[in-house]
Parts: sequence; C-alpha cells; structure tokens
Amino acid sequence: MSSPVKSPVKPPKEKTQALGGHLIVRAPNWVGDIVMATPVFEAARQSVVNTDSPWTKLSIVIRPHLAAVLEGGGLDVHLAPIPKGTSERDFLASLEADATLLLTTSFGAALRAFRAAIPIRAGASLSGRGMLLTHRLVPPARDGRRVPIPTAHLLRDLAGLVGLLPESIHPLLDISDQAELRAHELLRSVGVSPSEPYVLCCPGAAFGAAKLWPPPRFAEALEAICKPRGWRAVVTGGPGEERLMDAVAAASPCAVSLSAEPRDLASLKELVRGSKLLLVGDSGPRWYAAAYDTPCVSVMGPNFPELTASSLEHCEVVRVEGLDCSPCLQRHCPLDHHACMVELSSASVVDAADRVLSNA
Amino acid sequence: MRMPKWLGDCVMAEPALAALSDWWRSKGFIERMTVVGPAHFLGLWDGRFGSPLTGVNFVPSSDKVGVQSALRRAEVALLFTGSFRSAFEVWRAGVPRRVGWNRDLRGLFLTDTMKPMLERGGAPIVNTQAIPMSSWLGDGKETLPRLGRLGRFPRYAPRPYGSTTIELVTSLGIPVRRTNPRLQASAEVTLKVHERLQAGGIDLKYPYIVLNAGSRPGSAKGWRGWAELADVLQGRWQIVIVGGPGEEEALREFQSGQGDLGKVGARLVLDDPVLDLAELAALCASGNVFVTADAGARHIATAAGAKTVVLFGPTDPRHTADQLEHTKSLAHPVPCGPCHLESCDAKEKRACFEGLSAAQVTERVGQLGV
Repeated sequence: MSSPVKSPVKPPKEKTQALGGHLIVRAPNWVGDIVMATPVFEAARQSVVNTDSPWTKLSIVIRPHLAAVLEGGGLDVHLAPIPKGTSERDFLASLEADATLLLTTSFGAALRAFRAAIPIRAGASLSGRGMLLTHRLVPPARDGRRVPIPTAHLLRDLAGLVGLLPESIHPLLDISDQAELRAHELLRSVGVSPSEPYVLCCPGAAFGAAKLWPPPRFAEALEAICKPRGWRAVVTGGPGEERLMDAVAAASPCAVSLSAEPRDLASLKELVRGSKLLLVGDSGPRWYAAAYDTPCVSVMGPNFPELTASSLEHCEVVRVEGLDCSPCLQRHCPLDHHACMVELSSASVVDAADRVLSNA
Repeated sequence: MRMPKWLGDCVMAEPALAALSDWWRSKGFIERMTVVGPAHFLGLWDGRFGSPLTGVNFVPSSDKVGVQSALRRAEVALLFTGSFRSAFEVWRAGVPRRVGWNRDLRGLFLTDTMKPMLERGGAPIVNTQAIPMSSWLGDGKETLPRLGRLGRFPRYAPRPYGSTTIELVTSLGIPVRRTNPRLQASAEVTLKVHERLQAGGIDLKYPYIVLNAGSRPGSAKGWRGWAELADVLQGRWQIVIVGGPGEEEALREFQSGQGDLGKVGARLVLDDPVLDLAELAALCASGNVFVTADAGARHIATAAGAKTVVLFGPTDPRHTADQLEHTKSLAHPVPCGPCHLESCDAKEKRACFEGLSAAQVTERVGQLGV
C-alpha cells in the first residue's frame, strides 16, 4: 500500500504588524459632526508628521460630497473620498490599512471595516456593533440607555483609543483661496460687498422638517437684528432648500437669497467667516461658526442640547423649554403640532443675538 | 457642591463650577450655593484668583459640623467626587436631589446619575515609538505600541476630568460656555512674587523657566532627572525651581547650582518658604514655560496661562487630555503602566520615569517655541 502523497504544509502565517502603520479615520456623515471631528483629524495629521508616532500614513475616508468641508489646508493630501461606484468595503480593503478609527456610529460602518479585514477597528460601542470592534468605548448611560454628552467630547475620547490626543475640541477649518474667491463672487452677485457687514442666515436642515423654524420667524428675526444696525442679511442653504431660502428673503426687506447662485460647502466657510452673525437652525453651519468664532444663534427643536453643548463661547442655543415631547430626535414631528419650533418666538432669538453680539 | 480632594481635579472643575455659580446668580440664589471641598484648595475660589464665585458659601470638608449643617439645608447635592462615601453622606443627610456619577455602587444613593464611559477591547495604542511591543514580549514580533495594561474591571474609560464635570452640569440643563480653567493671581500677589524673583537674581526682562522639581520621597511621580535638566536648561535660560509643601528637602538639593557664574542664566530655588497656590499662579503667568510631572501644579500653570511640558509616569495622559493647546507631553510606555499607584511596586523601579531623559524634555521645551 502506497502512502498518500502529502501536500507540503505551509506554516501558518504569523499575523504581525510592522511598527509604523497606516491609519484610516472614517469621517462622520453629517457636516456638523465632521467639523466637530476636525481636532481629531488634525491630531492624526500631526501624528504622521511626528517621528515619535506609530502612524506613518493617514487616510481620511469621507463621502465625496462632504470632502469640501475639510479641503483647503493641511488635510488635503490625506483625504480619501469614497469613489462613486465603488463599495466602501472594497475601498477600505484597497487601502490596506493597519487600523481604522470610526467616527461614525452606525453598525454598517463597523461591518464594512470588519469585512475589509482591517486588523484594528476602534469606535464607539453603539448600534449593537461592539463585537465588530477591537477597541471600543461604551458611552455614558443611565438605566441602560445612552446619556447624551457633547459629540465633540466623544470624538476626542475615541481618538485616544489609537493614541491620538487632540489639543482641544475647538473646531479647525481651512479655506482655500478659490473657495474664498467663490464666496466673494456669490456675495457680489446678490449686491452685497464682501466688506459690507451682513448677517448670514441658514434656515434649512438636512436632517428633516422637524428641525425647521418657520421662515416668517427667521425673517422677523433678521429684520429686528439688521435694521437697527444698518446691516444686510444673506440667506443661503443646501441643495433643495431654495424655496425655504426664498421664503425667508421674500419676507425680509433687508435680506437677499443666494438660491439662484451655485453654492457649495467650501465657499460657505468664507460666507460664515465673513459674517457678523450666523442665524441658523440646528445644522452643520453652526459648527462652521464655532470654528471661526463667528457669533451664532442656533434655533434648536427636537434635538438633545447636550449633544451639541460644546464651543458655546460665541453661540447661544435657543429652544422651547419644558415640552413633554422634546427632545424626540424625530425627522418629522410625530404629533404634527411641531410645538418645539412653532412656539419659539423671534423675540427670544433676537435677544440671544443681542447677547452674543455684545460679547463678540 | 462637593469638590474633589485633588488639586488638579479642583482646577479642572473650575469652568463647570463657574457656569453653575453664574446660573445660580442669574436666578438670584447665589447666597444659597455652598461649595464643600478641601480647606487648602478652597482658596482657589475665594477671590484671590479673580474667581467669579463671589457670594458663594465655602465650607471646608474637614469642618464636619459645617458640612452636616449645609447638607441638612440643601435641596440639591452635586457631587464632583467619585467616592462611595460622598454619595452615602448626602443620602444619609436626606438631600432630596443627589446628582453624581454612578460608579462603585454609588447609584444606590443618588437620584440623578450618569454611568461613566467604559472602555472595552484591546489595550489602546499609544502615540510613541519609544518601545516596540516586541521588547516587552520577547517574542521578536513587531506590533504597534500599546498601553502596558488595561484598567481594572469595569474599565472606566480614562477621560479628561474637566469634561466629565462639564457633562454633569450640562445634564442639569446649565450650559458651560467657557471650558478652559482660568486662574488669575491678584496684582498684589504678583508684585510680591516678582520682588522675590528679583531678590533671588532673576531678571524679569528675560525669559525664565519654572521647574516643578519637588517630589515626596518614594512618590511614583518623582523623576530623578531634574538636576540634570536644570543644568542643561540653565545654559540657555534663567531657572526657577519650585515645589509644594513637604517637598523642601528635595528642593534643597538644587541649591548647589545657585550663583554659578559659568552658566548663562541664574538659578533660583524657592524652598523657604515654598509658594502657595496664588503665588504659584503668579509665577506661572509671568514665566515662559512650566516643566512638571503630571501633578496638580500643572493645572494651576495651565489655568494661569503658562506653556507647560508634562512628564507622564504612572498616570494615563487621557485623564487630563483637554486644554493641551500649550502643552507638550512626554511619556515612556512600560508593560506595567499606567498603574496610577502612589508608590512603584514594580521590579524595575519607576521604569516609566527612568525612560525619560533630560534631552527629551529639553526638546519638548524647544517645541513650545520659546
């Protein structure tokens, strides 16, 4: 009986990592959260420059339409927008990273990093994804439910899992020269000189209708803020918010709308930076204002104020207190009365604007 | 308000405390706010530092009668402490609303609680290449450098103390607008410190570096490179060496270098008497750089506006990782750290500190742009 021919047995490959690794930071999917995460991106950027750091390469993976938020400075060379038509998992796998820091909180993000076989996966243990992460933080809780803490705090703490210690939680945004020029062109196109004092108003919210304050209230507030000071008001917003912008501008004689102009997230940075005041809902541009210390009044409805309770030096958050149904975190008011927004008077917003402007 | 027993924690809690007092004042109830804390730290808020807490009552925690009296009258107790005893004390005193962190079974005695953040999974990666893991494990495998050991069960995540106090106050619906601790010594104290510096040969027209070189004998936070560092730095700057109460003996060892005309800078050792907290703040506000271990004085210096170089030994830098704009850190990860022990019980005594050299500290001082 002949002995079976044995195939040569390969020793199991030892899975070790070279000292000095490639770190992927997966950016959040909301503009505000991305801006809040900028101190983490900056710490990661410095770590690849610093010879003491274990990281030698950094990729900031971000949805392509959001990359403009981070463009214009030192992060440009590290941006890795997910190519259109490519699955995120395949893209992550192609980067051959040693570790990923997930600044998103979805189950899908962790699953994609897991399936991309990235050895170290750090993130918040939320949405039932803890088992997919090798390093994780369980946010504060009460009676088994997550307690809202400032998102900027959570992002900073997550960075510590991969050795990054941001210097502060103050957002940092760069602006390219082109974006600055585009913003000035936008202003001139509606008859506003870039050197002229103006209030910028962003009445929209990508999150949903529940975060929208009625346009007539925005218009009333703009009139009360701008008229006594002789300022102009410029109304802007994202794609699909043109009707809302026009409604505010139509009701306010001092306001002009950028609805007919080509707007983008990069030039919005300069619009915010150059304004005297940002009047905004609970949406991303609020964090642009935080980055540039632009005085800001944010009108908040169905959200937890604790989640955004950072960078409040030049910002006032105005909301209706004492509602039983608030905060509901719903995109559309489930009770149809929308009391958290409808009951919010323009006078309280104007008072808040006076306070932040007097402290500026 | 129950304040923590550590100096650094008291300073880091300043923005939350200030926001709380501002809110209380805006409601017209400032005289009904009482702060209980270590007697020697209450001076941080009594006006000598320009603190906004005027009108607030202060009760030293050593004054048992005063504390009990305050608790009996209290409607709300907000605990910035983490001990079981402090939660039990307010429960026993019958305070109706008791707010604090739910850790170590404290939740049984509190009405409004927040379970702290937890850490799970592997040991976090550290931002250094000083020691590859292979040298710890002895197996020749190279891997990313990690913390030497995990925290004890249930592994509360190391978080900046200041941020956690802000979260606690925010959870009560009170916004905290200023997040940087701020301490400002009075003009009178500043003048007194300047006079002492000038009498000791420090020329205030030129920059000086403050070394917080004192350390209690046997302390795990004691670094043995201070003398060498003082010699290296003295070649380029004026040096002021300070320490806290009880550290006078350690400071006297530095006297030998005083008046050495072969060095560019003067050296002044402030050991008799050592500075109090207000004087330390004044000294830091005027100095260029404050070099220290991860001790309470570090936070005084930061709050006074000084640039700092911080040497981490047995502590986890994440506990104090906020307000690092003007801070350069230096750490040497070891398999036994971070242990957070007051005295080192490892075979290789204080390996975490022994790995830090005066040259590395000098490099960090240079990175601060002085």
